[in-house]
Amino acid sequence: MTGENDDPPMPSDEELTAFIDGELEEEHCARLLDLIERDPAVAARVEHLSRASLPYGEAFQPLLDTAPTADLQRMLDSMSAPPFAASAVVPLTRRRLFGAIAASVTAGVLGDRILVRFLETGDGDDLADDDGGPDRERHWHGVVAQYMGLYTRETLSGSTPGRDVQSAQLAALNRPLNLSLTPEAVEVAGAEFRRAQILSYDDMPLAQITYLDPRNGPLALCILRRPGTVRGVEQEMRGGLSIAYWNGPDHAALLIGRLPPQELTAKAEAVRGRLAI
Amino acid sequence: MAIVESGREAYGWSRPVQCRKDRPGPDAMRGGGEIASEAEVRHGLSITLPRLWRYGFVLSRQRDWADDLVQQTCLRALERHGQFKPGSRIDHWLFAILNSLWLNEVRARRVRFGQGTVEAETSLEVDGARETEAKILAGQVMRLVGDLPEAQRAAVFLAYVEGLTYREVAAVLDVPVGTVMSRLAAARAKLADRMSDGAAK
Repeated sequence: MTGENDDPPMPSDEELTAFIDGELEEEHCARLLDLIERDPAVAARVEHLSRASLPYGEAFQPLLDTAPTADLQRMLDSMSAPPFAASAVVPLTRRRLFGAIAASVTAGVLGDRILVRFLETGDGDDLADDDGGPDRERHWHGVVAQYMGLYTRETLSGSTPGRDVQSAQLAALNRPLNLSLTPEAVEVAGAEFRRAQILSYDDMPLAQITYLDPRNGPLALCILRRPGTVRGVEQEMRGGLSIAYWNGPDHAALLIGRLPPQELTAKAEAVRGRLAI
Repeated sequence: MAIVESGREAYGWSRPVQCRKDRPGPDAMRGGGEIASEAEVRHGLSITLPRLWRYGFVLSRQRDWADDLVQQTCLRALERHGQFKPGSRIDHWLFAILNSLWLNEVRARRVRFGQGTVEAETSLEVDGARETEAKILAGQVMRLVGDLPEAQRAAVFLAYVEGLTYREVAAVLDVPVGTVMSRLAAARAKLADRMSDGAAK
């Protein structure tokens, strides 16, 4: 790998990309971690480059379904290998194929259960294996922020479903999360309900309820089933999105959107008052 | 995470849990025995067809070219089945064949006969990609990748969609590992810029 110089002031994007992708040797990796801790500029660059850690596997999954597999299989079945060809040709390349190292192809299923694993690096590491530092508890905020960063008004351009549909969608969340959400409880002032669905974070069910605020765009209320200390509403910014978050005894919740923090916090306080988590 | 101090924005990156590690692959993707038989390669092709087609589509951005690429890959792989190294990943070997056919034959032919340039092709979107939120999000990620220059697009696809290591990507593309690193870094910077300036929105 590159970057053999001792402690360069700013590592190259190649080096940082390899770091994010988990491709550096341990020693190199440790050296960079140390540098990131000491130098905010390096940490900022890593954070910036990590914004491109998107759910590529999941996004390209539907393409597999559109492949004309049956036709291709028929075409393959109709082929017979020309005799003598194997010995007559020159090697395609002299490249080595690295048989000992194999890829894990995650076949994420897009649909009602979406795997939110945006921050996974290319080698399939699981967020569950994270090192459990002080930010661990709020790590899912970053994942949600990245996911919500993809939402546009168009994503949520549909109409507000009726109360019965809302209730049915919420009922599907209640069981896995051990909640008793109702359309009334999850109302967000000034925003229209769009959809409730189950996502998955770190193998834990994550409820996501999306809204369209005609003034500020997409909003989401997310609830994760995770026991912790009860805490009131606090706020932070991630990737340009405001997050207002709080904890119940068995769940962590957050409201996220592109609107002024105070405004979002006020909406979150109202939801928190109605929502038993 | 140890690196991110409280109060500093932790958006968007997680510490790689482990640095380099070997990952065992599915046995179905490995050849067995000393010499690969035609049946073995045929079987490998059969279970890799949709993924080959998808790679062909990502490269060519056209369905009929993807069909053509897969067909030629099948022919070439069956012809050269003796060259497949048993015990190695047959899917990677097939990707390499398809990539080489794309670079050396199909794309060249397309440009030569004036059947459109790479830039003029359709963007990467699945039919009916607007049906549900999930599909829209998938469409947005595909569009971001689809807008990348071809060399970066192939590297991103192999590394981040197919999950190949840098070395494996280098082997498939038949380029040095350093080139893969440059392409991925350039792609990452571009995608991160677009995510930041809201181009994905």
